[in-house]
Amino acid sequence: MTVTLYKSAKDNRALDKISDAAVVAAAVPIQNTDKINKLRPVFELAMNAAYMQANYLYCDALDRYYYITDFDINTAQRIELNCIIDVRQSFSAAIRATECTIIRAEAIAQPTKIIDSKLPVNPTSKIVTSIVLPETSKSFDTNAEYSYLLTVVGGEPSA
Amino acid sequence: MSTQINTEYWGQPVSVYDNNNVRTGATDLENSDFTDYPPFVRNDYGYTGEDIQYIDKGDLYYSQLISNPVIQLNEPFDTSIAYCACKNMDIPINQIIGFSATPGSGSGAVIDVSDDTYWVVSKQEPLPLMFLSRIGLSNVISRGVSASQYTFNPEYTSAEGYTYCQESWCPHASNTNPQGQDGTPDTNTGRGRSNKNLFLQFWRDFGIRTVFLQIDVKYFDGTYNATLGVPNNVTTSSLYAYSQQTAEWRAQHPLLCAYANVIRRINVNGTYGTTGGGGDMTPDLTHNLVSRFQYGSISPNTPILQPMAMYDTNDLSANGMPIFGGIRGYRSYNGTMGANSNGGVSQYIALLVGGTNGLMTRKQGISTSARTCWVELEGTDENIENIRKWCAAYGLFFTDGKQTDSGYNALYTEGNDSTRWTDEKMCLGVVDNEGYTDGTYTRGSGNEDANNFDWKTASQSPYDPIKPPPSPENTYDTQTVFNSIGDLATMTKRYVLQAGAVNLLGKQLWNITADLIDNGGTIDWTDLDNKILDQFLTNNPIDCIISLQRYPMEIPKGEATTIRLGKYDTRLYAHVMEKTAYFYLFSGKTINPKFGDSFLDYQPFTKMELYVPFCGTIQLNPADIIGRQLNVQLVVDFTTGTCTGFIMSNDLVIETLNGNIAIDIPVTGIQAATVASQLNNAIANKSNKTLEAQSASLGNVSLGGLFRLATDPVRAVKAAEIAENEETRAEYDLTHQNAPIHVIGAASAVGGWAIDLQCRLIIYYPSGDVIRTGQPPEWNDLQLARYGHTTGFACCIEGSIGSMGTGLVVGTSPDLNGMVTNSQSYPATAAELDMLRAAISEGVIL
Repeated sequence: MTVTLYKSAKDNRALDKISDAAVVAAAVPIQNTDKINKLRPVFELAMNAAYMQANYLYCDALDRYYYITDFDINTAQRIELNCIIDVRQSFSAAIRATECTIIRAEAIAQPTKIIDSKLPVNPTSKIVTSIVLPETSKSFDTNAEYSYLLTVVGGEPSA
Repeated sequence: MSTQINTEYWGQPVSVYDNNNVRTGATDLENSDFTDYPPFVRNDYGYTGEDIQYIDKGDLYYSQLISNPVIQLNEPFDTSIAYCACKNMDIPINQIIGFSATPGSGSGAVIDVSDDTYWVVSKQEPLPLMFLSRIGLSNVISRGVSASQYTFNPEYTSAEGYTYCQESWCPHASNTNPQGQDGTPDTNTGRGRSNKNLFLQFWRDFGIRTVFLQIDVKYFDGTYNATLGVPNNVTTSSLYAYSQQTAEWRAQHPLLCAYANVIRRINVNGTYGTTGGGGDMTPDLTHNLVSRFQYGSISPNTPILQPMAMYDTNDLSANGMPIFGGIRGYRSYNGTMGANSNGGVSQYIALLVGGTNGLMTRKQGISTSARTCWVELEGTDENIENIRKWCAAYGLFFTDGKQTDSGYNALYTEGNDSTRWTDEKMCLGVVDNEGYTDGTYTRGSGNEDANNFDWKTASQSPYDPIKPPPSPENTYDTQTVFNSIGDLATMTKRYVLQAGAVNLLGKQLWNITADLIDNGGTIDWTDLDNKILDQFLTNNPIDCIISLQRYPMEIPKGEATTIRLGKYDTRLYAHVMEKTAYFYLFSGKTINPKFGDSFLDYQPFTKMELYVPFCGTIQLNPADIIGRQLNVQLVVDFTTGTCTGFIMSNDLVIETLNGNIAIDIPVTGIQAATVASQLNNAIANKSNKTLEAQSASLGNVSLGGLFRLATDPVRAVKAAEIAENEETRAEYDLTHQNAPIHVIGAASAVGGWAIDLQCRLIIYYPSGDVIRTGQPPEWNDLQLARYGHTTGFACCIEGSIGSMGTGLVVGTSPDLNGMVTNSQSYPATAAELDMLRAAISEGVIL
C-alpha cells in the first residue's frame, strides 16, 4: 500500500484537484501498524520534511483521494498524516455522469427566470426609466384651431 | 388487372401454364386454406411441388404451396377489427406503431414491443382497421413484426412455437412469406408454417423530418427498355431524401417513389438497371402508372438503422396495393424461379436492408439479395391522391412536384433552405399530438400551421407513449378586433368652433334682446316675453346650451353653418361635427427585457406602469408585455368628452382604462361648483389611502429588519408591494372613476392637457447595489461572473452534472446508481454515498 502526496491549491469543491497539483512524493509506502479507516485514515510514513508540504494524497490500495487535515510526527521518526476522504476527486468521473436536478450552475453565466434569492437585490433602490410609445396615427394639438365643440338644443339635430 | 378464378373452380383441376403459356401441369386449387377467404381471395394460381406454374388467365404471379398445405385459416378475416401483432401478452405493448390496411383488403397492424424476441398475432379490439397507415413516431427501433400460427399451435410447446416465431418472422432472419408460409418446412411435421392472421409487417422508425420524401409522378412516355421491359423514363431515380439532422440530401431513399409507367406485372428479380432484369414484364398500355420501390444507399449517419418494409397481402392491382406494399410473385427474366430452395413463389416481402443497393425481397428460403420491385398501380387521380396520403401517413415532408418543377429543383439544390418547406409543391403529413397520422396533409404555406412543421428531430414530437395523450388544445385567437363607430343619432346639434367664435357667442348671449329688435323689426313690447319664449322654448337662452367642450385636437368638421340656439339664429358661423369618435394609435415598441429575460425582468423585481394621456397610469405585469409589442388604442368619444385607452400586447387587448379628454367649459356657476366639490372628495380619498400605505410599509420594514429585507429580496419587495396595494387601489379608483357629470370636465382632463400627450411606459428596474456602502450601483459583468463562480446562477435543469460545461454546479436529488471510483475499482459505500449526495448539494466545480 502506497500513497502519492500532492500539493493542491484547488477549492474543496473542485472535482479535479490533481491535474495541476505538484507531486510531493509518489508511491510512498505506508508503515502503519494499526488499522486504517477508509473514510478518515491515518497514514504513517517514514519521516521526510518534504511531506509536510503535502495537503492531498492518493492511496492506491483504497483507490481513494484524501485531504490531509493535519499531521503528527511521532517519536519513531514517522509522520502521521490525518486524512479525510475526498469523494469528489475519488468519484469525479461518476459525479460528472450523475443525473440530477441542477439548481445552480456557473456556466449559465447570467441570471435565469428562476428567482434567485441569493442574488443581492436592494428593494429600495430602483432604476426608473421610461419608454415612449409614439403616436402613429394622428397627433394631439393643444393649440388646435377648431377645438371647441358646442352642443345645443335647436336647429337640425346632427351627429 | 388480375383475373380471378371463379370460385366454382375451387377443388377442381386447373391447368397451369408457364410464362410462355405452355401448360406445365395441373393441380387442384386449394379451397380450404386461408387464401380463400377475404381478403385473400385469390385463386388464380396453382402450384405443385418445387415448380411454379402460372395459369393463363392470371395476370399476376401467385403460387401456393399445395403439396405441403399451410395451416388453414380458422376463421374468416374480419376487416371490421384490427389484427395486431403483439408480444407475449405478459409483456405490455409499448405502442401501436401503425396500421396499414384498406377496407376489405386486409393488411396488418404493427405494434412495437421494443425488442426482437417473439411475436404473437392476435386480434386487437376495438381498434378499427384503418384505411390509411397510421405511423406512430418514436425513437424506438424495431426490426419488424409478424406472427406464426405456431404460437397457438397445440402441436408444439409454447417455447418451441416462440422459437419458430422468432426465427420465422423476424425480418433479419426471414424465411417467411407474408401469407404465413415458412420457407423451411418444419422438421417435425414437414409442413410449412403459417400465420393464422396473415399479417406481416416490417417497419422501422425514423426521426421526424429526418427524411424528406419526394414522390415524382411521371407519366409514361411510351417507350420501353426492350430487355428489361421497363419504361425508359424511369431511368433516373426521382426519390430524394433529405436528412435534416445532417442537412444532407441523398439521391435515393429507401421509401417509395411512384413512376407513371406501364407495367402490369411485378418484377422482383434483380435490381433495375443491372443484371437479372425482369424479362417477363409485359407492358400494358392500358395502365399508365406504376409504383416503384426504389432503395438506394443510406448514409452512415442516417438514423434509419433497420430494415423496413410494408406489406399487403391482398391485391397487386391498383385498388388494394399500398404504395409501399409487398410483392406478390417472383420470377426471373427467363421465366424460371429465382433462388428459392423451397421453390415457393408466393407472397414476397419487400425489405429494405442496410446495404448499397436494391430493395431486397425475401420469400421462402431465398437468400438475401438485392431486388427491385415493381407494383402495378393505375395512374388515376385517385391513386395519385392515395400515394400522397400514404406518404403523408409518415408525417414527413414530401412533394408531388416533378423533377422539372422549379420548386423541386430548388429543394434539391438548396436542401437546407427551410423556406422551401412552404413551396406549393411541398406537402407535409399531419401529425396529431399523439404522434399519429391519418394520411391528411397540408400543402405550401399551409405547412406552417402543421403541428410538426418545426420539428427537427423525433424528440420534438410531443408524443410520449408513457404519458397519456395530451388534452385537446384550445383554439386561440390573439387579436382583438376594433369596430368602426358610425354616426350616432342625437336630439341635439353640435358645432365645431374656433376660440373666436366661442367669444362671439358669449357676447351674443347677452345681446339677444337687442339683436331680436334689430332683426325683428318693430318690437311689440307688450308681447316681448312671448317672442323670447318662442325663440328659446324657455326664458333662459343659456338653457339651450348643453355643453361646451374643448378637445386637444382638430375636431373633424363638416360643412359651415350658423349656430342656432333653439330657433334663434345667432348668425355666427361654425361647422357641424362630422364624427362621433376618433381613434388614436400609439404603437411600435417591442418591450425587451433588461436583464437577459431573467427573473429580474419580472415582478416583483421589475414593475411597469403605463401612462396613457388623459387616462392616467395603470400597472402592467411585465410578463404580459416583455417580448411583445405594446400598443395602445385611444378612442375619443365626442359625445361625452371621455376617452378609453385599450392596452394591447401585440394585437390583444389586455387592459382598458378610461379618462376625460375634453375640458368642459362651465357655462353656469352651479355646474362649476358641483364639479369642484366632487373633485375635492376624490383627491382627499387618495390622500388618505396614500398615508395608510406608507404606514403599512414602515411597519413591515421594522418587523422584518433591513438585513432580512436585503437578503430576502422576494420577501422585501413583496412586502412593499402589499403595502402599496391600498394606495394603488385608491389611485385606480381615482383614475378610473366616471365623471359625475359627463358634460363638465374633470381635473384629469385639464391635467392631461398639461403633461405628456404620448403613452409612456414607466419601468422600475431593480438595482444591483446591496445595502452596503462602496458597492457599485448596478451589477456589472464582472460582478455577475464572480457571483456565478461563487454561488452559481439559479436554474432548473435535468441532466448530468458533466453536461454543464465548466465551473460550479449545484445539484439536488442526484441519481447515485453505479458510483464507482475513477479507476472503477471499488463502489461507493453507504457513507460515501451520503457524502457524495452532500457534495453535489453543496456544489462541485467542474
